[in-house]
Amino acid sequence: MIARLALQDLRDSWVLWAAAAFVAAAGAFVALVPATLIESAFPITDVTSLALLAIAGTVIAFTVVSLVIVMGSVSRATIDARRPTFGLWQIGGVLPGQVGVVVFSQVVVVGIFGAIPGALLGLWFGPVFARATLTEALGAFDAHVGPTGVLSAVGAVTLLVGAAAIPAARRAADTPPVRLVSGIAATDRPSSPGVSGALVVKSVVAVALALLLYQLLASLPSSVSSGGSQPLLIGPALVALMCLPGRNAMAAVARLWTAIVPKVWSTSFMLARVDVTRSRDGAAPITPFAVAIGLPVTFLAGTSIASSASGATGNDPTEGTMLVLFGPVLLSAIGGGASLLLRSVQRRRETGVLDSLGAGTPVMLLQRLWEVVIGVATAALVGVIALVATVVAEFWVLAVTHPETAAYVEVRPLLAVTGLCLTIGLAVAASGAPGIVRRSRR
Amino acid sequence: MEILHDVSIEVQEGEFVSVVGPSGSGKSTLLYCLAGLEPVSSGSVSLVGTDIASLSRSQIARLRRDQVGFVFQSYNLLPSLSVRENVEMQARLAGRRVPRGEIDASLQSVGLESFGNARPASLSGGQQQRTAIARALVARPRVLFADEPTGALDAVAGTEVIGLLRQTVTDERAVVMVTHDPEAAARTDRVLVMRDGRVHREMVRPSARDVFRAVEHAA
Repeated sequence: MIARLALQDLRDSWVLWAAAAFVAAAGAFVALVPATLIESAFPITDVTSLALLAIAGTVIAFTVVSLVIVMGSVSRATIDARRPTFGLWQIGGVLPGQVGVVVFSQVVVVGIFGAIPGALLGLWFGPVFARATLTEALGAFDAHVGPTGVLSAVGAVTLLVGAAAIPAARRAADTPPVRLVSGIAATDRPSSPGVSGALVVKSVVAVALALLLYQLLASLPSSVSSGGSQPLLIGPALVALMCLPGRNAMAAVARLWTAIVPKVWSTSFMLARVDVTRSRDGAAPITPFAVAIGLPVTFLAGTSIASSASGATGNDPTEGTMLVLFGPVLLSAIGGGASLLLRSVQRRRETGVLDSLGAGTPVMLLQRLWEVVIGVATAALVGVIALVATVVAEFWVLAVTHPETAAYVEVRPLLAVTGLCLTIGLAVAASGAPGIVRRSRR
Repeated sequence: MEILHDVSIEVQEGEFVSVVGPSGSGKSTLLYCLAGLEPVSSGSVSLVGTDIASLSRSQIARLRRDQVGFVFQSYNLLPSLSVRENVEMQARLAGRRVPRGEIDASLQSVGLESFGNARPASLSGGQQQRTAIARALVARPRVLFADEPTGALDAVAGTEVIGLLRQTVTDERAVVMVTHDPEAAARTDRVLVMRDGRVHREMVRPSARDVFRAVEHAA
């Protein structure tokens, strides 16, 4: 009975689950890159094998962390959107624990069905990408991946997707049905125990990240001399710290910079601004986009400053950055797109209200466009702040002990990743355009 | 499927007309057809002197935006906007800049002058419905359509809302309301009783008891 309920519900609400499936697909797609490195390393007997395995380890670490963060965020948003349904189930006699089990099972099914096509695409992409980024540094090698790699990627992604969804499944089980009966929209009011728990966890992680940053910066001069990995980690740790406060902080940043646009300038912009900065999930896409933009630009800056300090000029760190961060960046960007997709599904009623007020198709389409622009621009702003902070901090620390240190600020990677996020956001916005046009024709 | 048959009605400026009838009798469909929200398969609808059958979809939308106001049972306020921004929105979408004083006056007329910066979620049902009425008034519609405006309200809030709708009727504005509440219908100038998609009966200034009996008879 419960299994039938889970499958039937999955079929009825597949649009909402599509976002999670996309993230799982992206996760499996990028997981084929380290799988390729590992499979390619086994037949090799020289030092290239060790290099491939070491790189694979770094790629896996970054990919796992980003997949868990992005999937956790997408699962939470999906569950929040479906809380009224979970309340109805409980009124109908489904036990709270069973709601959690159903939701967890649904996430696992969505994870498997998303991961399989993603892994099959990665089967082609992994070897091509590994050859393109590593041949110059390691020489020619036989980059390949087979069914073992695909199965491992699907299994690992499903496992991670399931693990990331456990808190969301518990939240689903916590939906008090009385809220639904009394007409209070559960999605408008976060449950207090979850919030206080999340706050404690975030505070602990923030303190840990701040201490890690201090430690990394303090040991930076000696690490540059010995070739340690501190310069690579400072930027990503700073980005993680800045993104930790989540959507409310991102909404505040968006509110600040969009305030320079006069309210009377455009109704569609005003509606978009209000939606991003005030609605519960309006700012949700900004965090993953900020991770997507902040990670590579700070990583590149840190690597380049460390190279200049050690006198190792002439090395282009772009390919190494691409190899290590391609997966996390793509995952985060797709996570941002998935959050946008969820948001557009959630607010069909608001679109109906605007329609009844005579908003018209151009206003509603422009509103979606402005929402993407505001979200990505805010993420880029956060990325720029992280970049400047990384450059200033590393230069300030290294200039004392390594006078040859040069500050590095490269705009092109920032523009490239911002462009990627904008493209994904606009693609999601465009996917909702036919629905808006159809509605206005009714 | 044909829902309305042989319906012929006319609403004059300055009139407050209500439509009552049992569930499924076609009350709401009639309202949506009159407002241009639902196209008619045959016959004609003239809205503020314009035959909407001759208009394109976007022209109907523009006519609706400029000349028609709506008040729904579910309030239909935008949750992210403040009360003041909600009140301003329809006029703004019509390309009209609304002076702050006009919004304040409109909020004062519905008794919400101190709630301008509040968000809809923090208001009671009656307050949200009054916000919807203020929004409709600021848009300066020639016709105000209300679909079950008291359906989700308690008796006191419902009476207040009907009183406000009554006040919005002017020499240049008509109000057409669908309701299932005989008390509310009895406060309008004319009551149309629907049955199986037809206007079963028409009553002028009836009592609540008369409306109740007419609906009972139509069921």
